[in-house]
Amino acid sequence: MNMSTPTTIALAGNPNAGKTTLFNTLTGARQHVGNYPGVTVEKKAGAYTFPTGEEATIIDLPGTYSLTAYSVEEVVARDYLVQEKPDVVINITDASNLERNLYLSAQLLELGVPMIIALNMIDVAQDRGISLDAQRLSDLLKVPVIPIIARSGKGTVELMAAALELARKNIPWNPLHISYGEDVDLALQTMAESITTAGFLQDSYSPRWLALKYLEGDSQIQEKGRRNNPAVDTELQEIVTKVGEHLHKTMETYPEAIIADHRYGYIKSVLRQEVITHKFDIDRLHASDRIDKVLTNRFLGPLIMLAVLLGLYKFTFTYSELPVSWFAAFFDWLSGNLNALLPDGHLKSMLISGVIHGMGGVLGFVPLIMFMFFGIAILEDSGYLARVAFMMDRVFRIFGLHGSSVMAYIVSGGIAGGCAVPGVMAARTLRSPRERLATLLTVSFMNCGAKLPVLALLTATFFSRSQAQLMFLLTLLAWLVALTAAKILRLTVLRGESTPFVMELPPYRFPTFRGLLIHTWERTWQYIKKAGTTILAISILIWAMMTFPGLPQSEEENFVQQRQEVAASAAQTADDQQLKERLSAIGTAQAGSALRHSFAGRIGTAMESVSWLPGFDWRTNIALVGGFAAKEVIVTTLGTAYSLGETDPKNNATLSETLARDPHWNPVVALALIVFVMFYAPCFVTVVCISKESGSWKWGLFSICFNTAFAFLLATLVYQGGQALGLAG
Amino acid sequence: MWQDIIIIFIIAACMFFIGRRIRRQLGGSKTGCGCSCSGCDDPSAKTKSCKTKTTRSLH
Repeated sequence: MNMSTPTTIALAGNPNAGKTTLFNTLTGARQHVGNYPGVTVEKKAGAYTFPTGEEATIIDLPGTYSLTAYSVEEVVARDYLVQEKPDVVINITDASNLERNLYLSAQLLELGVPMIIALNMIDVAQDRGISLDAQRLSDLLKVPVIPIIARSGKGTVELMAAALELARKNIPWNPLHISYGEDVDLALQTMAESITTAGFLQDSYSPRWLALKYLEGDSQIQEKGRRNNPAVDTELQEIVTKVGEHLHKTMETYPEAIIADHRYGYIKSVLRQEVITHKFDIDRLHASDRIDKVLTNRFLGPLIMLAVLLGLYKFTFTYSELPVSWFAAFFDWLSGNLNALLPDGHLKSMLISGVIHGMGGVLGFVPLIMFMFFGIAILEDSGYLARVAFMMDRVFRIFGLHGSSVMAYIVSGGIAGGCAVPGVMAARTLRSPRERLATLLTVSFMNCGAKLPVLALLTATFFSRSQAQLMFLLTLLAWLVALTAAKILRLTVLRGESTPFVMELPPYRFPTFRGLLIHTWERTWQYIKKAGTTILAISILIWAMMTFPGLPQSEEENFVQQRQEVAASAAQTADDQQLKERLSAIGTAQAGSALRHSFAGRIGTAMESVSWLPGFDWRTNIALVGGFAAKEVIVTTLGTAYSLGETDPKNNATLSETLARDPHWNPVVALALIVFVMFYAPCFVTVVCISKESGSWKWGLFSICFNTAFAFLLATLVYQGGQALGLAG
Repeated sequence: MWQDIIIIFIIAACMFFIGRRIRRQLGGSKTGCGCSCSGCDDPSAKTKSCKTKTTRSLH
């Protein structure tokens, strides 16, 4: 180790073993920690300073069960270890599930990395009556073993001291050789000799490890081998085939299974040597298992899940109503004061119509978002969200999706309030490219946090008596449509077999109040930040598009003439009230005409030739075009459009009140718009992410066209159906 | 007149901001982690990991 450069320490371990928690504890970062597997899809870096003043870079690798390239996160973790060669690897293990966690440890030992094992959640293990002898385990594996509790930071100082000591020793990589039985050992030996003789891929990998990966059918290593030296690759493949056939003939199994069996055998043999003792009867059901008997019950579980979801919406809409009205009152007060203070002109119009009625419409929903996120944080931190995924897994298989897709759906807004971007990223955990693509293309159907203000505005305006129930039904609709779309894709363009899936359920944990507040605030702050930056900028640009170029001179003169005529006729009758009404009508007509004549107005009007089918007028069309930038813009654009059309300065009606009064709007139009907003093209950022994750812009474009066509069809059905049934009112 | 100058300045600033956002999004990391919902400077989205290799193409 070069003392002038920081020590590099990688954190590796199974999903949900506590890597991100340890990373946050060590670096002071606030990376998102979820009580479900697969939070870390990419690796993250942070800084740590030892008490001696020495610096270290901590790398949080994605959670993996193995080092064989089955999924993207396994490739990311392995590539980092092999190519970057960190000074020390801290292997975080869940002490309450040690046997399964040591499977990865065995593979790290086989790779030969300088390693320390951190026995995390030692308190949970003790509660379960599991007693662990860390020193004994250390002696047997010949690596330091330190018990820790990452959540509280207990043992982390000792862990980092051991890491520094190991880094200072600068010992060369020393791979462990596990015996895999006579047949596999012989094949490994022969292959390793061929690899050494040919100098095959030896810049990064040890010969025996390479041979092992060939036997495990590691596609990434085999592809590298083919590119590096096709002759040696063929020779190795022949040995793999030969040993595979032999094992199948003699034991009706294959090399990968033999290798896994022997690794577990090695682990069991280690643990049996007084490393682990159970104080209680191990068959005793743990608290989590007992809770799961009810919460994930085949019949009761789904009912409880739906009740929890409905409860979440009831809680959100009931308790956020009052603070939302305070926010609305504040923005009314602000716009009233600005109206009185500023002289008439474009600046006043921009501040009131563009900023306050535009961005204010989005910020007004901050309390609602906060309550929703608080509820979601409780579900997530307690571990219930993982149970939702577990129960949905059964449903997902019917629709041709993988169990891992559930988490991507939930992250995207499966329980309204997520974001499609991390949802798209979460699809990386899927091994099958077709299942992954089907997930990538359908996660955006979920009700992300950006759609929430739109849904909240329309449900509050037209369905105020049953807002929570409607949100609940809309959530179910989002799942139904997403799964149906996935099934259509899996039956057509993405046809293929489904892959098996084993869902790991983390234990239930009692959420800490501080943790809940941090999670709620982090997400709410993201919402506020987005509203104050991107949404504000878009809101101002849309205001400009709705204001310029303004009415032509001839039309301006026409309205001036109308006013003069009205004033002249009123002078004869001396009726002030009638004069005011007629002048106000002319003002409204002029504002409407100017809006229609603006750049945005022309676009919206041109779209009316098609948008009459789902019942959208030109104002809604502009809002939907703006919504491609970010869905919140739909609310800001409607706010600006109706504000610009308003000529009475004393009228401080909220957007909700304005929509309720407008003759064009009714519950059927609102429902058609809700359906369209839920399912039309994903926002720009999501499209870019889909394109990058799928490796082709073709799929990004596909998501825009497929989703919009699908949404248009549904919205038209809702509107035309509602009209036919006479529900428009 | 002074109002128009302020308006032009604000609109230009907004266009610059949005343009920069789009450029970062399109030109960011190949893995799509350059920007997230909350913007391009979100530390949880923009990390050292963004320098890593691309994911496998799915087509």
